[in-house]
Amino acid sequence: MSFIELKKVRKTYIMGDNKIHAADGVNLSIEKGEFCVVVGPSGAGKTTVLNVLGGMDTVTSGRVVLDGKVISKMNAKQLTEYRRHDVGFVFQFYNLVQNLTALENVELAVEICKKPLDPKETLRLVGLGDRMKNFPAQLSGGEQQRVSIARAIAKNPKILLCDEPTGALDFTTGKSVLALLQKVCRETGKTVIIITHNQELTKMADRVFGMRNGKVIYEAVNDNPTPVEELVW
Amino acid sequence: MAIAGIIALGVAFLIGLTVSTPDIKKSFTEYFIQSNLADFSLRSESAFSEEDLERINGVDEVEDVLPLFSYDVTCEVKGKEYNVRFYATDEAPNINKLTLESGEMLDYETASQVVAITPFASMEVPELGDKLVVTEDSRNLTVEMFGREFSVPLFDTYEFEIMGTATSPSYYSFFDETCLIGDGKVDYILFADLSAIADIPTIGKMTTEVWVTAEDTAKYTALTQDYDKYIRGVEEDLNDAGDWYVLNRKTNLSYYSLSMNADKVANVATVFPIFFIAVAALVAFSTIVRMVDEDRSQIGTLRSLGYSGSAIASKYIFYGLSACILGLLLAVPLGLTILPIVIWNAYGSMYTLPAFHFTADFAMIGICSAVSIVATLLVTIIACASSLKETPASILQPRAPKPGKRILLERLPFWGLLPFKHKASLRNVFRFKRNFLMTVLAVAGCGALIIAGMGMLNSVAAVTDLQFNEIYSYDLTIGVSSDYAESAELSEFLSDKKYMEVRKERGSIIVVNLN
Repeated sequence: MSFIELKKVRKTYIMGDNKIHAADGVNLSIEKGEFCVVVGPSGAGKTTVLNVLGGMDTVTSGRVVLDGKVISKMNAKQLTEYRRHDVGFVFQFYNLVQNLTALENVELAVEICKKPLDPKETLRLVGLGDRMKNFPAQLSGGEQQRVSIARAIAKNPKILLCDEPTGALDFTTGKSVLALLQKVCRETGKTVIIITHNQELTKMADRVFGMRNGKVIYEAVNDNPTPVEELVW
Repeated sequence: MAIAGIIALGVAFLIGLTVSTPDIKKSFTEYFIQSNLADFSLRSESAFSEEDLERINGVDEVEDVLPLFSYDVTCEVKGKEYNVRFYATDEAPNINKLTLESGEMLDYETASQVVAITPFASMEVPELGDKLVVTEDSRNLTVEMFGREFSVPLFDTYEFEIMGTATSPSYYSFFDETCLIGDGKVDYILFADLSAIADIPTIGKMTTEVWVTAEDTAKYTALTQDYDKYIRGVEEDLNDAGDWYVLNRKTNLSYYSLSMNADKVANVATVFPIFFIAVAALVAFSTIVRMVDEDRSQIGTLRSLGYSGSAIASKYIFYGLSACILGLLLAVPLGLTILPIVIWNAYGSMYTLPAFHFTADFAMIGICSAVSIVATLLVTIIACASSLKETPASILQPRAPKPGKRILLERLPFWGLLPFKHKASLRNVFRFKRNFLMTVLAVAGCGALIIAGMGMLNSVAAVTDLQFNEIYSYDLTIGVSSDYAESAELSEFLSDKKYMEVRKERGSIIVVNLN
């Protein structure tokens, strides 16, 4: 059994009289320590899969398992616990708390964790050792995204879920953020899952899932991922 | 801050209005106790005798008794005639004690000294050193002895000088005191030494009035029903003890009008607070709803980090509660002081005010605080609940705009003729029901207040009209002393076709002008 497994996952929204299947029988499995990219156009169901996997939303039917835990059967309280200890999120728009400094933002996340990493150490790891006392508004987009990565990894989670982490960044900054995520994956052995509509990112992944209309339409395994530096978009 | 402000305002008003009436009653009670205000004034058709006084003293509940001479006379001051009420005692009165305002107190040896009561209503202003001369007509009194009538002098001296001015616990209102001489309105009230009053043969100094206090008066707050209830029993015993009129405090114009006016604030206090509390709850609710909405993405972030809903809600509850408590901390001292003082000072235009005494209604403060805290808590939880009920995934998204909907008005024939802007506005009215409801309620509330205000104004105007055109349909009342009732002069006046007699009561005849 794989580290992460989604079986026949279905998420249905009811909009008036219409039923919309955001995820329509998704099957996928990911091994521990893999750098994984889910790619697809808007509305393909990528974010739904990420939310379900991250304990941010419940499934309508199907089964979600991470490291032997059945997430799809958890209640709201257990999901909160699960998000607290096992998942780190990186969002497209960083979602930092504006009136906390970079360091305080990381501390806010680790405050409720069991075995967190040292916040200062983590910020040094992402290259922000000298910007710890700055507020988000005083940092560039790339630096803010680094803070949010530091926040995610300082919790010492089992998986890192990244929703369009480069979506709001320019080409160069985006690449350095991706390089950082790959470095985290390789050096700490954490499973990283990135969601994007950018086809180019698939080249750097160990495993790729293509999605369309709520279904996984292809899966590919990359034995020789391209280094981030060589990517172009 | 808005929450703290509105709670401070609402609770301060509520507390202020609630304690104002007790403050007024307490302040006057203190003054009444300190000046030993009489519970009764006893009057008689003839002078009080020694036996009468003994019988009054003999009534169980009676504390102090002060016999005194009181008489209304006309005096000349600076060349003009005025109606003067004279009181005379042989020492400074221990009931209805005077408080000196200016000049000196009487020495109770010099017959020509008088102290004047500080003026109220349309009374003349007494000035230190003013000389009063009792007019010829007022100098004598007709007494019946041995079956014959004698005219005896009333005073030993006819010239008085104002030595000082003082306040009295029985004269402090804005109403004119009436008398049965001159134009019927008292211009001066004077206190003199008993040596100014003539000895009447066989009787000696005449006692025309007796002031009485009851034993347990100090245990009751004046101007309350508790006091009224207590005093009723004493009044009956006094009535039974002798042949005289027992006049309680309510026959004192100042006391009576004050007891009516003091309760007015209490009446207002029962209506307004509900309105204020409703407004405060509404403001607190919309403030917190807006705050939670503004923090939407932050709430989402915290949830994604694994913070529980209750941990997030507790932040808003803490905020709401601290604002509420801050508001209460401001409200209690403000409410207990500012509003009662403002109202007290407003009463100053109608009464000569004694020193102000604060009261604190702890039960009321407790209830107010508890209600505000519970309301804030409830409102905060309701405001948070809808946001926390959403899944963390959806709360990270910006709130979806409310869907547009067709409305009933569209079935009206002219709908198609409306410009798009108006169509959108009309649909929005029904789309955002909370805003719509709040606007309607706010306008309705304000409108109701304005109309209630104007209605009150109208009804007061109507009362004046009813009172003087419908109820008081007479033009004159004629005060008549008993020996004058059958006189030729009076019947001549009444028969000359200018006035018509409507009704005759003891001592007065009510007439209408026939023209």
